[in-house]
Amino acid sequence: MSQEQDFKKLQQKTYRSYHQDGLIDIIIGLAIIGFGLNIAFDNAAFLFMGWLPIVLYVPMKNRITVPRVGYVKFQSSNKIVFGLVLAGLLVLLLGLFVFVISGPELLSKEMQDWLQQYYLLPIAVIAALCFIGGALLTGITRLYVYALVFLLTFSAGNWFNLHPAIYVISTGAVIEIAGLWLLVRFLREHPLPVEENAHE
Amino acid sequence: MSENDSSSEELQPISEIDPLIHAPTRLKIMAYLSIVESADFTFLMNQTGLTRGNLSVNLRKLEEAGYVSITKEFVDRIPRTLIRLTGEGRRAIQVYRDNMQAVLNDLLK
Repeated sequence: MSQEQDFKKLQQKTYRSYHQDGLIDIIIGLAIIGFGLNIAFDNAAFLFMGWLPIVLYVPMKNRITVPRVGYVKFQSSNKIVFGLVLAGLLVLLLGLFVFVISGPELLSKEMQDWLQQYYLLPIAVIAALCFIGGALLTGITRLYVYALVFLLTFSAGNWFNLHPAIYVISTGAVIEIAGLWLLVRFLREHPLPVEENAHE
Repeated sequence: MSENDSSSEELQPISEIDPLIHAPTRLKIMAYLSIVESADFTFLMNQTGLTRGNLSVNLRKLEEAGYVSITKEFVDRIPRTLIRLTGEGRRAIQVYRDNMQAVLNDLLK
């Protein structure tokens, strides 16, 4: 195995250990549940409430994770790659949305009908791609599972003709429960050190 | 060329290996620091599995060599010791990796 691969593995191990607290899962889960509630009640306030915990991510990380496993700042080059992949996928999603809204005449009648009926499937595919991209970059393997959960629940929901809110909220709930389970496990495995303030 | 000359030429990559980085504990520290921008003392201790004293001693050696910089800051009134590789430290670990690769390539020839 080359040194580059060794360093890549070490980097991924570091990512994994820093994100084993489940906080990111909890926040993603809440955002998806908020999206589902927005569909269910047609109220954008739920969407806003779902995204609100994002602002709490850094304070929660500082309160829960840093005192237990320490603080690390990852290289900005990795953040740029991650940001570019995410931005690319979001642009794809936005492009799809704009295309469907403003240029339906460009699509065939069958395609329009299909999109009207299964409009959440392309979103599920893009979300799954986001998770796969994240897993490839960070080595956090549970993101592959989330990608699969997204594809399975959205496909099954469409297949069984369920209300979209049901399978969107179910997907969010799965990720949320996984995040909470990870957080509980993390708190058990990493009790606060006795000398909390002594760093050296 | 004498036998001695040829043998010293063959051993050149080994002699170029930086002994300060080559020590396993310091290599661990340098490797972890090379993949992040900065980390605090607790994080390095958890990742490397070194004790507080051992990490402290080795960090001081690396700091004296100019390979790492150690700064203290306060976050929510809690002190945080931030450690990062200096430019010299990043160059040193890169040279070390190249030299080790050369040594391993020579061995595999």
